Amino acid sequence: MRQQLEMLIEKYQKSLFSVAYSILRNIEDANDVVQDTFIKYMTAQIDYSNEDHLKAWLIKVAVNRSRDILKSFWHRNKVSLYEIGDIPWKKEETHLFDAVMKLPEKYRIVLHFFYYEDMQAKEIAQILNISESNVKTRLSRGRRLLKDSLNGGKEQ
Amino acid sequence: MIRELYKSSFDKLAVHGMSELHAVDILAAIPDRQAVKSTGKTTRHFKRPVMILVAVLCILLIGTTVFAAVNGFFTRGLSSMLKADADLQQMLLDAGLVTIFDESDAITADGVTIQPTVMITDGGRLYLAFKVKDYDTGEYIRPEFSNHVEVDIYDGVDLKTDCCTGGAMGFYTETIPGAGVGADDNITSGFGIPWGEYYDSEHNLEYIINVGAERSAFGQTVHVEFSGISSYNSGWNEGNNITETPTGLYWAANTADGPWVFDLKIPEPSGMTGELLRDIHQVSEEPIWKGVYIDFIEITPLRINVHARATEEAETIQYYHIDGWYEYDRTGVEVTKIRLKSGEVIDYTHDRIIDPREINAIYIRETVQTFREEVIGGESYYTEEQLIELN
Repeated sequence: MRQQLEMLIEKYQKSLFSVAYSILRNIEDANDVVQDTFIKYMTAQIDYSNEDHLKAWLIKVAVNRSRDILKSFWHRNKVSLYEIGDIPWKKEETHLFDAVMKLPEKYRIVLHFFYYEDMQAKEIAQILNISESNVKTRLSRGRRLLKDSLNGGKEQ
Repeated sequence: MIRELYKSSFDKLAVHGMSELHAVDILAAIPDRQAVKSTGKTTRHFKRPVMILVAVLCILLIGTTVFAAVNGFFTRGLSSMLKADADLQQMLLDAGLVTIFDESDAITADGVTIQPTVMITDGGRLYLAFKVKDYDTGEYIRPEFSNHVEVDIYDGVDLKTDCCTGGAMGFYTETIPGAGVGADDNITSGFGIPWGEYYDSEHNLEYIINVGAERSAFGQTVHVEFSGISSYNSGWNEGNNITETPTGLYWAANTADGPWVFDLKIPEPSGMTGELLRDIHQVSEEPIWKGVYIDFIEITPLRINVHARATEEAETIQYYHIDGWYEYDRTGVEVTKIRLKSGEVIDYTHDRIIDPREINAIYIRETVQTFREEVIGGESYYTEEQLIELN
C-alpha cells in the first residue's frame, strides 16, 4: 500500500513533529526530522500492509532520526532553546510542558507516546524496540518523576 | 487531566513551531540529500553477511518539465512526464506494454466521473493515468483525494497488499507533474503553480499513479481506490472552512465522497521482445568498486535495474568520528547517465521512455550511508562513478 505524499503530510506531520520535539526539544531540529522522515518514505522501497503499519513506520523513522541528531556533535554543542515564548499556553500547560521537557529522554519519549498518541505499552515497545515490561517500568517511573516535578519535588 | 493538558500543549506547540510542508518540498529535497559529501573513511571491521544488493532505479516524479505535445496515445500528463515522442509511444504499443481504456471503464459517483485512460507497464513499473471529469475546485484551488487513495497489485482473486515499491501519485500540473502539490487562493500558488494548470482545455483533471511492482505485474490486477475528492486552500492551519474527515481536520470544500474503485487487469505483453527487455548477465568479472560486482543488468523502456553483489568485507564500512564509531552501509546502485549508440550521453534523472536497443553504456554509482536500522540522513557519500559498457 502506498499513499499520496501530500495526504501523508496532512495526516502525520503534527504527530511526527511532536514526537521529534519531545526528543530534541528544538523546533528547528524537529522540523528537519519531519522532512527527513517524509524523504525516507519517498525513497524507501517498503510496502505497508495497512495504515497502522505505515504510521508506526513513520514514527519509528522519526524517533531514530531524532536520536541520531541528539547524539550528533552539533546538537550536543548548541544551546537548546524551547523557543516557546510566544505560545499562548495556559499556566498549567506551561508547567506540565516544562516538567516533561526536564525529564530524561528515555522517560519523555515513553510519556509522549502514552499521553499524546494514546499508545499501549505493546505499541510503544515495538516502536522503541524495547521490551513491553521495560516500557511499563519507564512509564511508571516517568509518571512518578513528572508528578514529583509538578508538585515541586515532593513525593505524593 | 494530564493527558488533556499534554495534548493541548503540544497542539499549540505544533501550531506555533511546525513548518508548513508540502509534497513539492519533499520531492525537491530528495536530490539535495543525494548530493552528498565525499569522505575518506577507514574500514575497521565487517559483520554483515554477504547479500545481494538489488538496486531498482526509482524514477522520481520531480523537476520542472515543459509540456511537449505529441501525436500519440499519451495523455497530457504522461506526455509531459515521460517525454516520449510518437515513435517511442508506438514502440510501447507494439510491445504490448500499453492498455488504453475508454468511457466504459469510467465510474461516476456523487456527480464526479473518474475514468482510467492509459496504463503503461513493463511488469516492474506501472504508470496509470485517470481522467477526472465534472469536478470543480470552486473558490479553492488544490484538488486532492482527502480520504483515501490506495493502490495495490494483486492476483485478481484475493486482495492483499501485494504491491508496490517507490513512486508517486497526484494530480497533474504542468509545473510539478505527478506530484500532489500545494496551492493557495491566489491566482498563482506559493510554488508558482498557476491554478489553471490543474485543468485541461475541457476542464478535466488528470491523476497519475506511478508505482514499482514487487513482482512481475504482468497478468495481475491493479486495484485503485479513490474517495473524498476535495478542494483545499493553502495550509493545514489556514482558512475558514473546516471539514472533519476520518483522518483529521482539513480546510477543504466541495467534497465528493465517492468512492471510485477500479480493478484493472494488466495483460500479458504480446510483443515484449528480447531486444526490448535486455537481460545482460555477468557484467563484471572484476569488481566495480572494492568488493562490489555487477552480476546482472535489466533494461526495459521504463527502467534500468542493476543487480550488484558485495563481498562480505565490502558490505559494511565503519569509521571513527569525533563522538564515536559510525557504521556505514551500502544503499544500492544508482544509474546516473546513459550513453546512446549515437554517442549522446543523457542524464538519467527524469522519467523518460527510452528504447533499450539504443543504449550502449550506462554510468552508475553507489550511495553509502549511515547504517543503523531505519536511520536516515547522517553523512553519506557516493562511490566513484563507473561507466559500464553494454554489449
